[in-house]
Amino acid sequence: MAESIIINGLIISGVYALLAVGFSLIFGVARIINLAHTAFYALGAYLMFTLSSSLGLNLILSIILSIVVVTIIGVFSYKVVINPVRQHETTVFIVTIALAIIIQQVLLIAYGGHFRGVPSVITGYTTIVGVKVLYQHLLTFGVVIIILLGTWVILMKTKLGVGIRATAQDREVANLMGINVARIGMITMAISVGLAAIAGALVAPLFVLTPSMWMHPLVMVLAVVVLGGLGSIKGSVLGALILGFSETLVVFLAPSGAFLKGSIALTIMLIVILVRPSGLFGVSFEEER
Amino acid sequence: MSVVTTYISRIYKQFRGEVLVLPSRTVVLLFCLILLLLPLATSDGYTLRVLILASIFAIFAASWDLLSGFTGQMNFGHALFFGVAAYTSALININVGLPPPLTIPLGALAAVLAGLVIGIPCLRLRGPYLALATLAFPLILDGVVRAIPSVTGGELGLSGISPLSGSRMADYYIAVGLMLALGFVMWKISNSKTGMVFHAIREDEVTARASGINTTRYKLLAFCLSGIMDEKDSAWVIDQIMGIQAPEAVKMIEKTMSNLLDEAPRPARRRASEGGDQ
Repeated sequence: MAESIIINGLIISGVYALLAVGFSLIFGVARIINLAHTAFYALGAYLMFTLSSSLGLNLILSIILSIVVVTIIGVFSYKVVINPVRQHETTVFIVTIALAIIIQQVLLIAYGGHFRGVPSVITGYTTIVGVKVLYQHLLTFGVVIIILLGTWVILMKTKLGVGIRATAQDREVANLMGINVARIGMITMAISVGLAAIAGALVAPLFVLTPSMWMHPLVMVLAVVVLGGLGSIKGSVLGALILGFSETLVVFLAPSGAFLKGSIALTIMLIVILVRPSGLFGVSFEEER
Repeated sequence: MSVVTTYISRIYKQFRGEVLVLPSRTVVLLFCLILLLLPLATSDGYTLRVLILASIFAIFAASWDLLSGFTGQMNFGHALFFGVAAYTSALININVGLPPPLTIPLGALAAVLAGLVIGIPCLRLRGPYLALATLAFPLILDGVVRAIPSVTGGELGLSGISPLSGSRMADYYIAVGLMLALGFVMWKISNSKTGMVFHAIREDEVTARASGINTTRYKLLAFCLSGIMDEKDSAWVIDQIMGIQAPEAVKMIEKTMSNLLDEAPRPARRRASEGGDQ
């Protein structure tokens, strides 16, 4: 029991962290609350399913291909539909939710409403301190850690990362310093959607695929991001750990926990933001100063 | 006789000066007349039902606009009021046996309380935090409703609610009449001093919070009335509630903008629960 909670908690937290970091990045840089974010995750998972199960490609190759394709779709939709309305908060909400619904309906038309499963990338298990751990779980968790570290390195150690952080802090001043803000926005969107697609392709073998699989993660990602503080990467990872584990604990321990998992996680989020109205690591933005 | 004629002509003059001179008001008048006279042309049950639903969602959308459009407070949890009011009045009706005309105000009262419970803590949040925090409340309630099926009926919802009126025609007139009346009231509000305050609030964060709660109260009544607008088979009310509380952000926004996207899955679910109920 305890080991299942830890393993599942880590996997779910990792997925939420990947999604929340991407969500947080694009919010920080372009002030876009991208409600279609987890739809790209679902799209990634489905593409991975198509490439591996229907076309019979190598699993690793299909993961990489699906990430690339979803990133291209994401950047294209950013360029065509999201960026033009970026200034209007409400319109962004409506446009991105419409985008998510379009993706869901396309998946529904293409695959039907059936539950789909993808075979594991690697089968078998190993024993760590007397606990059986599937290789698939280890692989997923390892990739999540590597990707998160990679994102951190890009943000903190490269020139691109400095540009992204500067744009997030103050768009106008960044522009004055010679940073191409529009291009930074696009690159950030690519990273953000790419992270969502990675999360989708990674969990495809572990979770069940349905066209509406983006809804629960969306709610949880919103909660994670608000809990950690909008625009804070550190906060997103910590928030993902807190909510991922609380969700897993509720599912395993509480009666009818599967129904309550969202409720408990959101209650935790509410308590945190009522105590600290800008989340755990909320950063103040120039508009609010 | 001449007194009566003078009186009528004076009313007509006033009517012409107030309504007919403005094309937009004339259109609204025509719209109202068409809606009210429609049952003369068709008594097709399906058409009436669609129009009843449309009226209910018109109230819902207009009331969301009164809060979020006028005052600029992004409230994603609007469906919560709908759900709270509908569940409260349905539960009182089933368990205590009060008729719908009595339970509807009680449901409204519960929704007002819910508005206070949400409004008071959320006073402190701003912008996207407010939007996302209000979104959390209906989703929390949704989980709770599903987790205690013995009280709330869980996923299947509640059944056996008393019908509001005997016939579909009566239901139609209640729904449409209510929609027009509340639409008129909301239009009056938006034109009144209060409406100007709302507009001012959109520009000023601090005042907005305070008024946000008050404005909610107006509309709660509308939801409750609409939420329970029911006929013999109570299944669709439950469909409505479940649809609205369904655990996703989308539905809230869809409901508030339009219910077009949501129409597709509903018939299937209704058929399922009707089969289960009878």
